[in-house]
Amino acid sequence: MKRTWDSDRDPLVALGKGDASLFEAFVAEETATFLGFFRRLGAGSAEAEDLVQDVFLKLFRQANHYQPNGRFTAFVFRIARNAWIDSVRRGALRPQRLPGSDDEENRKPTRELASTQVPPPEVAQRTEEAGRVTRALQHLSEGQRLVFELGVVQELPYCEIARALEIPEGTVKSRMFHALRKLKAVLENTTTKDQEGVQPR
Amino acid sequence: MSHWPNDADEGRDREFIASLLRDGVAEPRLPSGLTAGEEARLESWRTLLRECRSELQADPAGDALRAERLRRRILAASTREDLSWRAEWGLWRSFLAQRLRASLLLRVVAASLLLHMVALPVMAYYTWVRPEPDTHISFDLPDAHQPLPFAEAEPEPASEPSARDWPLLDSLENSADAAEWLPEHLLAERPLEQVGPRVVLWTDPLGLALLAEVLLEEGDLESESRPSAARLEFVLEELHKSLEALRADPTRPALRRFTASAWLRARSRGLGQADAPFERECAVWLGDSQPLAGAAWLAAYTSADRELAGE
Repeated sequence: MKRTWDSDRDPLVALGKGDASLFEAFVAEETATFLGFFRRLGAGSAEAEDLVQDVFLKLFRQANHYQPNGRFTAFVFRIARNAWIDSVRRGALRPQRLPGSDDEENRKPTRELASTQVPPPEVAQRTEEAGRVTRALQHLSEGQRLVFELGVVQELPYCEIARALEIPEGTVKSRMFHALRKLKAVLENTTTKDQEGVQPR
Repeated sequence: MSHWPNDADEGRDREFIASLLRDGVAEPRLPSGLTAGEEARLESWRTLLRECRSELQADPAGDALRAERLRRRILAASTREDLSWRAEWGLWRSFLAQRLRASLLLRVVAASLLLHMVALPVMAYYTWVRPEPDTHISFDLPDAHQPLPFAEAEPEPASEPSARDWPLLDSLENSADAAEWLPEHLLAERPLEQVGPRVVLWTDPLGLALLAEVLLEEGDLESESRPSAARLEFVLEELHKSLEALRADPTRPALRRFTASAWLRARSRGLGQADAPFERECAVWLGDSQPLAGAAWLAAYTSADRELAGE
């Protein structure tokens, strides 16, 4: 998120007071943010749109009962993360994983119950079109990917990440380190292979 | 080629990463006096974060268009949702409630409508589940080898006609009270040669009285051989004339008494010509207003018959 939506710019507080303009501005500016968030977690285009709409409508309906507790950004990402987990548990989504990724949660029953799979050709096409980092993200576990997404892309501090993901701050710090180290290794490995591929024999 | 740091290096890397994320990639607040190796590792993390953010925070053109379309959809379903129908429904509801409160007739009509709407599916259900009457006609032919449920009646042998075939006599025979009135009974009481001429002479008062008694009895028994009303009426007129003649003849008190009994019996059934003074006179001759019956009738007949015979 490029702008802060906390304290006096809290969209739900304003909406509860009858002012919808801040919520509309929040939707206008952050729709792309959440689309990218869900896409990087592994959702397809249509699935990501449904999830984003679901998140914003949940926020809209909670406006009358909303009590600001901490940063609004962390609250929104908690809603988004819960929507993602719910959709995966319902079997509506199956996160994309590359073979060899160290996602421990891939072995959980909820993953096995997921019935809707992204067709392999679409995955391959998306992977080809994505950048180096996006492709490297496929090697991270879901927990590492969430921490990386909130810390590096959304630039949330560790305490807010811990609040959004409902995990201890130390776990955030550890997951971030392992995520970046894995990414670094994958990117360096990719660079080496690219260099070897262009060298003349 | 990267090398894997030891535990101390890993701890320092965690600090570097936390500082770069917390304070910004450009100016992390780190303690001074970093070694060359630490500076190199810090720089490598900084480079990695810059590369990640430059790629992931950029908005591709396709995503921007998709986001714009999605933004309009979300706003249309939230803050810009058309809620005017709620107000219109509220107006309709308050109008209906007001009209229902004001009019008893409207409440009755509404209740009737509601009742019919509730009953309609119930009736439809029962109409649906009720079996239709079987309109198919079938005939079952009996088995020719099976015996019939009844045997064909054998014709009775023909017999000679007798007095027993007369329905009136059958009815009289079964009645204990009427047994004394049978002509057979009367004939048994008196030898045929003595009574015969009196019985067949229907024109004298005794014969008329007997005929009237028999015809009245037939009428009471409602038998198939009931005499016609005209015939009975003629006999009663003749009987009345005989009594008129006996009125002035004091020498025939027994005959007058017997004949008066037959006349009163006819009057007690509403038959004959109405003549109250004459009836009172008949009752005086009879000694009672009730007609004779049983042994008294037989004794009166015997006396009348002897009187006619001049005994």
